[in-house]
Amino acid sequence: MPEALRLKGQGASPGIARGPAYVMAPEDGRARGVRANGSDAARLAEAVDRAVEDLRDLAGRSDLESAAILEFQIEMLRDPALLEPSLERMHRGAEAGVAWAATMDAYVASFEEAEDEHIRARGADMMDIRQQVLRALHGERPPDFPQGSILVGRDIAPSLFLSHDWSRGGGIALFGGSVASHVATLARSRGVPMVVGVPSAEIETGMELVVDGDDGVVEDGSAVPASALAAGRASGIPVPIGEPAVAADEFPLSTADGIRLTLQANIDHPSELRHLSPTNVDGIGLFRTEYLMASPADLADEERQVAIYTEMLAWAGGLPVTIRLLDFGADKPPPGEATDPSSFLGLRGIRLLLARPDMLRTQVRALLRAAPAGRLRVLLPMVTAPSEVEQTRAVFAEEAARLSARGVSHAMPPLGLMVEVPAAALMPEAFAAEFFSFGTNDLAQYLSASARDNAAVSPLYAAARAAVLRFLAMTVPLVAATGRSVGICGDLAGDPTALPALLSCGFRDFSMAPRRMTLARAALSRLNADGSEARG
Amino acid sequence: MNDQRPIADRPQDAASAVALATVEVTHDIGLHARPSVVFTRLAKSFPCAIGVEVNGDGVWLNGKSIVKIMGARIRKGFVLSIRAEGAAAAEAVAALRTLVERNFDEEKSHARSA
Repeated sequence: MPEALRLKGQGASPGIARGPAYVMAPEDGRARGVRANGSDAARLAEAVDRAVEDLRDLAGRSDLESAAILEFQIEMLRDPALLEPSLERMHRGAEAGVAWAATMDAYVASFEEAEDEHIRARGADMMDIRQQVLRALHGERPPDFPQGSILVGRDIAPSLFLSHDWSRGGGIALFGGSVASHVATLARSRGVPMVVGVPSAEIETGMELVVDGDDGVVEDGSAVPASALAAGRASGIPVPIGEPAVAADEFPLSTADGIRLTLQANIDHPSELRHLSPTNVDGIGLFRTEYLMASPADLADEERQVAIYTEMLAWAGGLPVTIRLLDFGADKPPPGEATDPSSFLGLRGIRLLLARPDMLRTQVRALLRAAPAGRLRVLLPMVTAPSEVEQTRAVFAEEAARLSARGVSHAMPPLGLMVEVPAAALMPEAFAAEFFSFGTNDLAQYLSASARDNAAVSPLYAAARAAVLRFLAMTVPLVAATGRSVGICGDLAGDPTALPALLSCGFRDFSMAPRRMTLARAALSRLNADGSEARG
Repeated sequence: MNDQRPIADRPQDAASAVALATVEVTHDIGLHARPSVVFTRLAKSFPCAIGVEVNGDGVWLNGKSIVKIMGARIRKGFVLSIRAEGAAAAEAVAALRTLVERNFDEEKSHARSA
């Protein structure tokens, strides 16, 4: 009998999962997406063809007058001149969907600006064409794998994680990865057991595996008796997603000495709201929009974003909902693009958005249009310099003016700074931001000069915790001195052992994954506002 | 590609034929959606290159591109120059001019091309 497989890695998300392995081919997850101008152009051309086919079908079933309108759309779509500006944008680096949407936005605007009513009315046709092609592009979905599988690979894209249905269990075993990666954060908030830094080994699809996220072990399932698993579960079973995060009678929350605190939820996907009641939280402290974007077409779909944000604001009633602008770069490349580990110190977050304004403008318009539905706040990721806030604010102002010109209802939300770059944390008074929220994962990465997706330096990343806490103690008062609100939304906020130090730094507003709330709430209510233990 | 015959012996075809006509738009609304469809479809049915100049502004638009024709915002009273070059240039210009004069057959049924 051959020696049973037992691989020691690092636990990234607690709990134990058992199931058949699904070995991800390199082209499946994030490694896919080497961009070629030809393939983008071909994808767009294909989507246009599909839209034309659909229109022809529809025209065939319609009355003559409707058909004439559809014929107009068909002729527009068949004119190569319509595609030219998109091709040009793709040559300059835009994705097919983004390029198409940006081209059509400009085109729609040119119609809507016309004096002639008949020409203005064609703007609606152009918008219709825009959406049809986007929907055709939408047809492309990222690869998926069978439910209940143990996903095995070098790493996994956050969008793949989120497009998969984990309700039948399953787990993740990665040869690379990191406990501080975004997928690890996602896995923890969804209760999906995950092990990273697994030594490379021969694992075949279909092989029975056990992933032990508590001990950081991946084992041959056929060698692990079910009874051993049952014993293991007692220690580390993840909190089911459906469990209410906070009992209503514990709300609102205050410290043992009576200082009111707020507890908000970090949300990665709107579906998480189904398991969360707005009566038990103080709002959404961080909605990470980049995980919504499974494909380039999603990025360009303004209507979809408006619908999602509006729904979220409606869910929250009058509670604040903080939506973060798309935070792409490094371990989270824009959909369809390759990862660029060097960009941890390069084009990430707001830097990337300002460098590629097409996707920023689409999101800004969606946010402006959704804002009247509730108490929206917008968080800017990875801000380093005051000019970045000013430029972003200018984009909001420009898009708001365009919406006004079109008579589309909208409102300007407050803009806040996600404090992740040490340089920004030290100079809060220099920023024209209306609120501040500390993101401790990246702050720790930049303070420790340890990339959080690199398993080789993850001990250094973890060891920087004391330095991070001291840094917060120094900088939170600087933010408080500006008179603007300051919160914390990084993983540290959901760690009960860090809460005394965070209280003593001056934090009163905490945002964390919903499943972290029960413990955090219990810990916070036993502490005084200065972080000291209240009992005894 | 390389025609070895002396120039005088080559057929008098396509490449050299040019036709030009000028016509005023009398349609009440101008070249909006449907007239643009009809105009460019007719233009595309000819093998020659077709250009359209609006009010003598010196810019020649591709007469087979609905995007360009729509983009010109052609309204009632505008004067169009229609220029064709290549095979059947004269026929193309005549047909397009007549179409504009007939108000794009707007009063006829909205016939579909299959």
